[in-house]
Amino acid sequence: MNETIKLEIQNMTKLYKNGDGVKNINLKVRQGELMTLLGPSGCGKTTILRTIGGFLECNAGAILIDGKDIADLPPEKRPTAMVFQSYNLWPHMTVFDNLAFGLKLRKVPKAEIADRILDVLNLVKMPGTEKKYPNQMSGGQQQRIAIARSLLLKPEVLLLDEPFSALDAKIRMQMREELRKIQTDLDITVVFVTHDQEEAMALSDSTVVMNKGSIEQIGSPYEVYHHPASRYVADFIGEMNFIETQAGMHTAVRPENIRVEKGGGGDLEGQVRNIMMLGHYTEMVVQTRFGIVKAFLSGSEADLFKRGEHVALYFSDSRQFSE
Amino acid sequence: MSSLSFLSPRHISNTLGRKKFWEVILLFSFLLVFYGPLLYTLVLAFAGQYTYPDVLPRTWSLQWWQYVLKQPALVKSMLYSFQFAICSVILSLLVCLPAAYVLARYKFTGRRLIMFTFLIGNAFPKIGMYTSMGIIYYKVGLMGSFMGVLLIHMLGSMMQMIWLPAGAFRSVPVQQEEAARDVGAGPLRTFFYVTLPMAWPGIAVACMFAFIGSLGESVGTLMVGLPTYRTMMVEMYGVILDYPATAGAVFSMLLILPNLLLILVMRKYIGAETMSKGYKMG
Repeated sequence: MNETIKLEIQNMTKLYKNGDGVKNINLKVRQGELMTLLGPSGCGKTTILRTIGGFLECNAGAILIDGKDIADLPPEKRPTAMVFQSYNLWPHMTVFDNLAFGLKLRKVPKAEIADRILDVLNLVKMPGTEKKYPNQMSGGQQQRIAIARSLLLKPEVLLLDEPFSALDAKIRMQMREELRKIQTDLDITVVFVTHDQEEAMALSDSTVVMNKGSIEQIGSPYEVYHHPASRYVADFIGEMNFIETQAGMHTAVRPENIRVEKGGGGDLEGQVRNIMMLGHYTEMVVQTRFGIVKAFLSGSEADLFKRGEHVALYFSDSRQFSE
Repeated sequence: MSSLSFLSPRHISNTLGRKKFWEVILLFSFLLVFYGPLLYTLVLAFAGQYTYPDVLPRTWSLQWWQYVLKQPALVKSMLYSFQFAICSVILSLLVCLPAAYVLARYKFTGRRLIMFTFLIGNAFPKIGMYTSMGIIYYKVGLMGSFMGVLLIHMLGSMMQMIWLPAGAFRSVPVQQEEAARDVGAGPLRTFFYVTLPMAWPGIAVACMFAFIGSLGESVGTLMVGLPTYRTMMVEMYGVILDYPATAGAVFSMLLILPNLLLILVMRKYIGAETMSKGYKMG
């Protein structure tokens, strides 16, 4: 990854007839960077992605790849490749034909097509599947082939629209790791759309947190997690306690940043309502005069407390939000 | 008691149980009414020596087939029937498929209305439509022409050739087409390499209906095609009056055969899903 800007979106607006859409989007993606567009359904992340890919026309603004505006080009002429959530592969063609389709269009010689397909199948860990049909493979396998097909075209920017959302949790983790490895090895610029904040944290070089058509914060996973710019971001990423200490003022503190001690005092005191073992950490629910506060403790720390005990909570790294 | 006593109604009734017995009787009666005439026609077509009071022909022969196939007018009508069927299906495809695609993919104002108007053509007896077409044909000079008859055949199948393919196109996920555009295929190439192959079953069923419909088209062809273009259906009116029943039976078989073959061949495409997808307004 270097500092040259590969993809730049300038003042892009795309509005639908019912008023939804995105306004004045400005983004810069560096060469070799994996940028995630993160947000709930309807926040506009897929709109932005599809505008980059050419499947939507923007009402205003420019989309520059390597400095050239591509906003007027149809999808087949853009130097981008997209992987959809599902229905990527053509069911009436074998894996080989699916992969070769784009190469044949570019008049690549037959022998070279065969070699490149061999290489890319090894890259996505699906060797020997050339003669299979998509319906003979699992969802995860199909997505691998879809990614392989995009990589074959050597796109300037790779676009992924929630590609792993339809897969089981375990496969999802595996695919994430493999994608990240391929991306960093090949130094490809990627824009990745997801609603899963865990996925965004795990994959990104930078994350764009979106809400209702506009960008709330752009930053690295660390920045977005530890220094959320707004209440929305603080709430959306990870677990967060919001304690209304005064009318209109909320103290936000993450459960893992709360230290629990016996007795009274501290930043806030309360009574232990529940202790739940969640695997390698334990969640303690404390009833305070401002409401429920959750704290994460290690197993051994949690053993020291019982339900109903009076405890003192000490906050580190808390922040204030109004409203 | 004879050895065939197990065939007595009482015995059968006791074996099957009262309710089932009447159900079986009802089914048999229905089958008789439904297939009886067809079976009779089949028997007639292959009859050799067949006189009253025999139930079945005394001898079987292909003589009536030879007879029919030697009548030049009848053979010509068979050629015309197939010519019109094939041409009308091909032309219908060329005209209706693009329209079906647009109706499937693009949501413009008036789309539902347009789809509905194609439904209307099949909602009332077509004689009204043919009469007004006849008037226009006289003015334009299409009366008694090949094109005139072809148009009648095409109009008869318009609803099938628009609704069913539109449903078939709609069932192709948009992402498949977008994926093709994404890898570099233009809209036309995407249509031929991705959309059409995937929508093919629905389109094949529509073609089948159009073909069968064309073979069965009678009234309009009669009005417009005479005296030159007489299809099998048009000739059938004359055959019943002027030819012996056995020849008529053979002619009927010749009409039924292609329909039957088509349905047998298309069996695997005609599923409840294809049909129901085809008739959604969407």
